[in-house]
Amino acid sequence: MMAVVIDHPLLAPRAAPPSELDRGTLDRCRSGDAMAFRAFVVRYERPVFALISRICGRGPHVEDLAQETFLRAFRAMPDLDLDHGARVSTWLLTIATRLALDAKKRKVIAEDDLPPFPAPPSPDAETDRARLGRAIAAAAAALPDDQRAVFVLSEIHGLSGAEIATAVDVPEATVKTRLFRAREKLREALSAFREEAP
Amino acid sequence: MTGPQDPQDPELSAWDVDEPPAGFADRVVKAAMAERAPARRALGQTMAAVAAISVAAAAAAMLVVGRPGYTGEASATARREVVIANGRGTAVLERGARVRWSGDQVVQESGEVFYRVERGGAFRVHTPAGDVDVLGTCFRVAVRSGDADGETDMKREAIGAAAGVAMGALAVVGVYEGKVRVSHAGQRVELGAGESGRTDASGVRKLTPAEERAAEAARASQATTDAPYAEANKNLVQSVADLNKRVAEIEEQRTALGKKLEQAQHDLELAKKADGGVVRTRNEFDLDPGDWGELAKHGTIKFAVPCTRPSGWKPSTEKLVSLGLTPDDAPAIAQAYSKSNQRVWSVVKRLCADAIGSTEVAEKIGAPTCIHLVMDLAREKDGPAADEAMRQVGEIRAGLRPMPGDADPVHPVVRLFLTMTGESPLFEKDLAASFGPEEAHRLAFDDGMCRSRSTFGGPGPRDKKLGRVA
Repeated sequence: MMAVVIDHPLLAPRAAPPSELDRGTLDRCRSGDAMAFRAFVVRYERPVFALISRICGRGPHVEDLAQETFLRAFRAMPDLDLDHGARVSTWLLTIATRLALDAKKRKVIAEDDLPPFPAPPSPDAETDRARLGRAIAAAAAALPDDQRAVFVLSEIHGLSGAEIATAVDVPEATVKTRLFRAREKLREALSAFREEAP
Repeated sequence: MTGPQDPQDPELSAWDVDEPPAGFADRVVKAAMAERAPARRALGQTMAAVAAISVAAAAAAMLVVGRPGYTGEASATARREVVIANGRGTAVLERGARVRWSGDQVVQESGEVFYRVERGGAFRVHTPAGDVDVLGTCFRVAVRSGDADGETDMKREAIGAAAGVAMGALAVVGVYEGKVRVSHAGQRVELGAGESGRTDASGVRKLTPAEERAAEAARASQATTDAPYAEANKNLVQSVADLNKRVAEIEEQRTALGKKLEQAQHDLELAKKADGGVVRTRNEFDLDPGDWGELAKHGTIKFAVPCTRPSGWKPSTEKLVSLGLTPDDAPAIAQAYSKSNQRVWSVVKRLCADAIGSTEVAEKIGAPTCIHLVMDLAREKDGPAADEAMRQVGEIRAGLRPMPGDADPVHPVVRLFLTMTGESPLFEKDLAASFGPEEAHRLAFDDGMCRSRSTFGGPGPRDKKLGRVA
């Protein structure tokens, strides 16, 4: 297939880092305050679900892993350094990433739980956006887990190379390599999608 | 809603994800509190063993007791207690308070309790003096015997308790957020945020501002009995303040030392420059035109090229990890080495064969030996011409001379060293196809990669009488 160079938004600037929960609520979380912890869950539940969905695929396992993410966070909160450590969202996404990758590695997610590989788009039945979403999901599903995780953390959640290196426990140089390869593969997959799109 | 899971990039946001289901946060909190309760109890026992600390902590800590289940009970005998009732309501029991709960029904038998209740269905607090219905709010219920109220007419009303209500019992309800309904014996009063009410044998009613102040005074009076705890708490606060001050002092010292270190490093660099030393941040073989300009003055040639091996270089897993790579990267590395070896050998073999007059022999002795052989034979044949060729290579790399074309007739030493000095960028370009340009540059000059480094000492400054152009 002829390579097509495109100026794709996948290489666009990353989303701004999320605003964090206020310090007072976080302090109360650390002391075990149930209401504060509930506020913490409500604040971060959507990014955590999104991250796990994108690394592991959608399905009932997402809620299980998300719940385990928050429980681990709750257990670890007393030791969380709010003054000198990572951003809370980064810290939480690190926990979620490791859980998600571990689940994939241990194959605890039943194959039936994973969404089927998207079928070729049907122009009559879907909107352009839905077809694009399916194309991205399909291209991402074809990536190795480690590349997909790095891509999601960088391009969706805006983590830095150093933060991702900590999250997936590899050198920062490896993060750059994985990110480069993931981008290349997605760029190629999406350029093919565009060529095929009506 | 836009959030961190919804990238601003509209195309990536088309990638759908699962959303948290309703009640997810409540389920997580419930599970977390279920885990926490035993651990906190153990902590409480440990703290009790340390008398000096436990006295101070008693007033400050809020201990979770009881499991968040459908039923349970708790009392605060010596300290303030926090109860998570059914995962939806949090109750803070002041000393002397006692509650039981079953689902969303709480029975408060005595004492003063602060409640925070999440929205979602009925939540009722039964007291001996009446019931409080809640729909998501913060409020306080104080159940008293009537003589602790401190307000004369209230006391009278309490003493005149009617049948069905514990003699003298009354409950004062203060609402901080939301709305509650206080009811008893068919009477009901709704209280909003900032309002207070009372229920007793005589009925249910809102408190007037004066009565609210009196009730608050009664609370304050009760609070004075906590004076020993308050004093202990004050001591604890002082200890924390002292520690914070010490931490701040250490932080200041650390900052000052950091500045000194930074200054020392700066001075060191200046000293190196003053001594004529060169402060480099690049690899010594990562040469720019300026570097080549300096080398060209003496005709020195430096290059580092991927090592040449018959079967190519295939890094081990340990080597890859040390380079910050993974086993998956091995093929890309091996391919880049293979292409580099082919490029170099295609030129060196031809030059070597021309120099010794035999392609077969050149193939037998291989690239590393051929490189030196070409240089040695060129010097043997015409030393000044070979020296001049070396100077020219430096000048070409410095941009002081034009780059000859592949078909242009040049001295074999020029061709040899242009090939060798030009190989590293080509190798880097091949790596970049797999690793990206930044990472490729790092790898190309990483000492962990297999490289052949060579420095051919130059003949010295050009003697204009002998200078010849190849």
